[in-house]
Amino acid sequence: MRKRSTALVAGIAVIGLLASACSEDDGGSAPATEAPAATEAPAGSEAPSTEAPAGELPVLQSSIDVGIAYTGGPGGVASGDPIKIGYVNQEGGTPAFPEATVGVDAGVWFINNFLGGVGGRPIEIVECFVTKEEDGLKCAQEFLADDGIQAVLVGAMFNGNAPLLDTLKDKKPVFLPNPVTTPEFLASDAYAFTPGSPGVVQGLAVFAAKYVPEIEGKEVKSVAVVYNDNPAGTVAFTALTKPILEALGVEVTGVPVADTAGATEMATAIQSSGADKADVFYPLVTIQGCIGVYDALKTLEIETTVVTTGLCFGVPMQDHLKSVGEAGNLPDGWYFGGYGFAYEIPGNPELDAYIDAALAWAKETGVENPEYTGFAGPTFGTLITIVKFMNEGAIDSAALRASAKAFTGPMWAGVGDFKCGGNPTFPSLCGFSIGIQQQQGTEYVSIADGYNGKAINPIAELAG
Amino acid sequence: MEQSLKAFVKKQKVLVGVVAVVAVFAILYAWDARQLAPMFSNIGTGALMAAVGLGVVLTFRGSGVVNFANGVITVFVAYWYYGLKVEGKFYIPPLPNPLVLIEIPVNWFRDEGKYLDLPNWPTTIDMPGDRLTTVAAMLIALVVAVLLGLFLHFAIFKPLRNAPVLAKVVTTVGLFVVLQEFLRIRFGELAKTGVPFPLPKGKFDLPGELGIVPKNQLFLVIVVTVIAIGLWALFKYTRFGLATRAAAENEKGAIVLGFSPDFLAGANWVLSTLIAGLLGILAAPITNLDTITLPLFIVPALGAALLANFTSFGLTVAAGVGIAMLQGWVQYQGAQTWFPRGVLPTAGLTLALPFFVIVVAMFLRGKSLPVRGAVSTGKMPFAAAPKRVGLYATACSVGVLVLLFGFSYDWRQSTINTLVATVIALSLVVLVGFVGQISLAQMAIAGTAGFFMSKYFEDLPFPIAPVIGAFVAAIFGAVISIPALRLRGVNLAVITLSAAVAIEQLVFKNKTFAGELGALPVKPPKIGGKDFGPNNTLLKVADLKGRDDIPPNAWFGVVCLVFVIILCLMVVNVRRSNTGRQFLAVRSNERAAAAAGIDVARTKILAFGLAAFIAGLGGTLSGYRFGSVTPAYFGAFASLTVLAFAYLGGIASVSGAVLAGVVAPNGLNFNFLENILHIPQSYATLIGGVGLIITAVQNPEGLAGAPRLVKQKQIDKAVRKKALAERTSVGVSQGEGST
Repeated sequence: MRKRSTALVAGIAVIGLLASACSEDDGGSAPATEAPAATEAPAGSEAPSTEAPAGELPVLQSSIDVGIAYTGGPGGVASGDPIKIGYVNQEGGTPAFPEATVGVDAGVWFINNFLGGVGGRPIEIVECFVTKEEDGLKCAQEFLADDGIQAVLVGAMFNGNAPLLDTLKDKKPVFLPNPVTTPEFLASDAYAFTPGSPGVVQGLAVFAAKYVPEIEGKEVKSVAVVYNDNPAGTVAFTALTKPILEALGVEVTGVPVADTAGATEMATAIQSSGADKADVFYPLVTIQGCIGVYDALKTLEIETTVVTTGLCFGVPMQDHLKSVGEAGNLPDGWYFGGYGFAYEIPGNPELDAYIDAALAWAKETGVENPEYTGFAGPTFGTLITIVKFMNEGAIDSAALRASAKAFTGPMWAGVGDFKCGGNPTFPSLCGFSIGIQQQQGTEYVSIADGYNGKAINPIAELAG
Repeated sequence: MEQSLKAFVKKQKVLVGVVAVVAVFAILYAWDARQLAPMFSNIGTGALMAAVGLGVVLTFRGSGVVNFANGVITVFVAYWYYGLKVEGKFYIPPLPNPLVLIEIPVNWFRDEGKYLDLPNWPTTIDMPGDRLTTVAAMLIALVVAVLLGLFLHFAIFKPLRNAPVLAKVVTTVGLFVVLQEFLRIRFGELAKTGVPFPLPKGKFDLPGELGIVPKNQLFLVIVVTVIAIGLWALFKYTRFGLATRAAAENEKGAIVLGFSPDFLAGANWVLSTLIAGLLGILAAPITNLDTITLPLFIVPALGAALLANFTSFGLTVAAGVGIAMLQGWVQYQGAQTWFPRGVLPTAGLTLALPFFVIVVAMFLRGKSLPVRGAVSTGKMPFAAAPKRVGLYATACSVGVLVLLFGFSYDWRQSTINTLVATVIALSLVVLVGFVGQISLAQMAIAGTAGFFMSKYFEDLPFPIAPVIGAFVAAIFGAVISIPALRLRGVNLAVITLSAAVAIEQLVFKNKTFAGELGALPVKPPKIGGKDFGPNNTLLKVADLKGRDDIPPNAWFGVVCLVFVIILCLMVVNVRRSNTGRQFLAVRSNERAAAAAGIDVARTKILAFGLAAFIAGLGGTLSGYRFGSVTPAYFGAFASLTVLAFAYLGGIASVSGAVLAGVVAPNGLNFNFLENILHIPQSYATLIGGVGLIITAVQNPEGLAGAPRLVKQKQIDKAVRKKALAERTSVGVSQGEGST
């Protein structure tokens, strides 16, 4: 009797878990097509405040104007049957890039409520998240099964890229705002209107070897690199950074660290890389790694030139710096490479419009501290570019593919030339130029980027 | 002279050890002083390994359980501290919600986005004020640790007290999965960095080029050392400690002396979770708080615990710190120009280091590894001889064909996933179910076949390529079986888990072998010139194809089905054959088997090889399924999950393997949960883990064995009833006779 009752309790527990599974965590975002309420610009936000809000709109009129000018949409609130776009992102495990979804959600809200969607019809994102290899295959199958989906947007992903791209190849074009793995770089039916991680990583290598000597007034003979031990990190170091630096006559020492490395493990890796003696230290790690690097450099009292990627941006870094008494949003003195413009520096109308839209979306939908930096901006930019193609009449897969191939820019918040297939090594990468900025105290300063017209094109620099 | 030296070494172990360590450091210093710096700056990592190891030793000494979930328990408590300290919230674990019984049937008839969403339990309780003070947050988190310890003892491990080692191992694996999913669901996927705790700041400068020792890391080492000393004193000088040691040696003797092994086990569980939680909180500021980093520290922690013979707290700390310092040294050497990075991936070698430590420890101390003197040990799951095989095989095949050709792409894919998982579960049935050898490396073994097939045999025709790949896996399996000749039970589980990490890091992530892409491509299988790969949905055979043109190709599923049928029949025949009986004899009692003339070593090697061959075929099918093989898919975590679901299905029968395939991640059951019951995938693993623990406690034969157990209980009940009736009638007749 007692055993039977125990089994009964156990059974009820399982059913209960099923129950809690069904009714929990449904997410807190409001429907994208909901009409915008009249609100003021968020207090303390970093939205550009060059103009007063237009009437009761939650976003600046200038942001709407820039958006309409880019997409060619009719403006206003879109209505009718939605046009679907597949969206896949790595979330729910480690590593994860939920910020890309912030870019997409903000984009859908902005496009549908202010830019008139696609010819007056709203767009709808069909989400699919991956954490492991088989999820990429599953997402691709779901997108293929939905006839309404004509294109697929990828936020950022490390796992499942190959099955996703192989399954969708020649069926539905894939747009990659943040390509980070080799299957993405080599994909033949995928399009990245950014330089991707190869462009940024190569650009930073060129910057370290050719620009740092001039800016810092010191010779750069050696670079110490600490990189994440994952496919993206390994390729970034072995195939993209090391050969370039060595070709430019710089000695390179690279040490891989686990994706999950904290300050303790990072200190060991930094010491092993010889960062204390190197002219430049180049961490190629995700944001948690960046925080670990910052702490480790402080502990080890290593003061050298640090160049790194925009993966270090984000609320966790800001919170961490605040908790240790630093005034800036990023570590003082570090150089950062990105896609040309920077979230922290106003002046690019498209990026300013994005930040305005993202913060307004967050306020409208009750999202606190939206992570609108990192991969979010390029994802927003690529989504709005897909909408631009659609407004130009490219509604089906074939037309979208043709539009992508013919696209030469200008790209939303992008810099330099664009040409799909223009990169002989990585055919999916259609962008080439990157920008470098530096954190100087509490200021984020343009060094060589779209703001001062000195964006770095690593392919051209190396060819020259 | 030689004898007196040996006697001196034996008497002065500690002194000799210290002198040896100093000598090693002196040699390293003379060679290149800079190489010592990364070693000293990694002692914090060593303290974490030692912390997890202390919990492992404590739990083993107290209850005889080697807790593979101790790393995740450490981080579990630290997360609760984070919630209280940083967010001012007390997180509530996912609780059963009875309203689901209304939601599920209603949502069955509703479209996505219009689901009924009834109230649920709160996920958090707001604490007074924005944030709690450090002391208050720590105290509440430690209360959580105590409650967790009590729950683990009373709800899970007390009922398993007399269960076989296998049941205890898979339960801790299930616990690992469940706690990890709890954390993911409640705290999200992003790591929490810089969790506040007032650790000492700054560093101590070491002389010369020895580098520095951060004060916070040193503090952690001191805390771990103090706790180890405290535990040593507790076990040496207190009545509680002596009683625990007595129970560990001989439970029956302890009972006779008036000690309750249950009480002792419970107290040790609480002590273990309390210490794990405390060290997790202290470590949180200097490491990332996430669901992977600290949980995976279990591998080096097991190495440290093994070096300490699962008994010495002091040696556990020394070994943990030593392993971390060795990792720092390897990392430094890996950055030097002479290091063969192409052949030996530095990061991989660092992570695989515990494997080598464990192997050395096993071989040096194999004979003296402690075995707990339990009152009784439960039986392994019943491995019934299969009956009506043809009928079941035909019925299952028809069912699979209907799913492949009559249903949509998601059912086709989940059917294929089920078939692949069935193959890998079959390998565990042979190895674990029939021979009783616990392997936590089966996915790694499967991966070797996939990687080798892709790298060296991709141009061979199908099915020769996968078969040769599987033979390579069989060789790996046979190599792994070498330690199994001396080891069994939980020790074997430990070494296979560390082997899984080593294979993942040194083989799958080896750039020379697996390239720099992070994945090796796998060409689709061709039969008679036709592409049977999963993406060729236009393939028609006998004018038959899948219901739609969305991958996967139904005929690829048929290929998988043929493999499954052949392998199932092969395992059935093995079970029925003399070999199968030898397997079961070895499982039952190795000494008795040897006395009966069975070559135990040969039998074990054969089982490992056969199981690896089957797993290898599963690995190649998986490669065909994705068009590539990746290290992540065949990683150590995957091996744990596979064993968990194989046990859930039924570890000792072919039907259990089939059911394991059905309930495996992304299998038919997952598709049912997601698409019919609308339960998110993120909960499916949690449900699987909970199911596994319940199965281990209530029904060790898994889902497949449940009907037999129910029937057996009915028979037992009937026999008891009959015996009682006979006794009563005898009593009555005797009463009548006496009157």
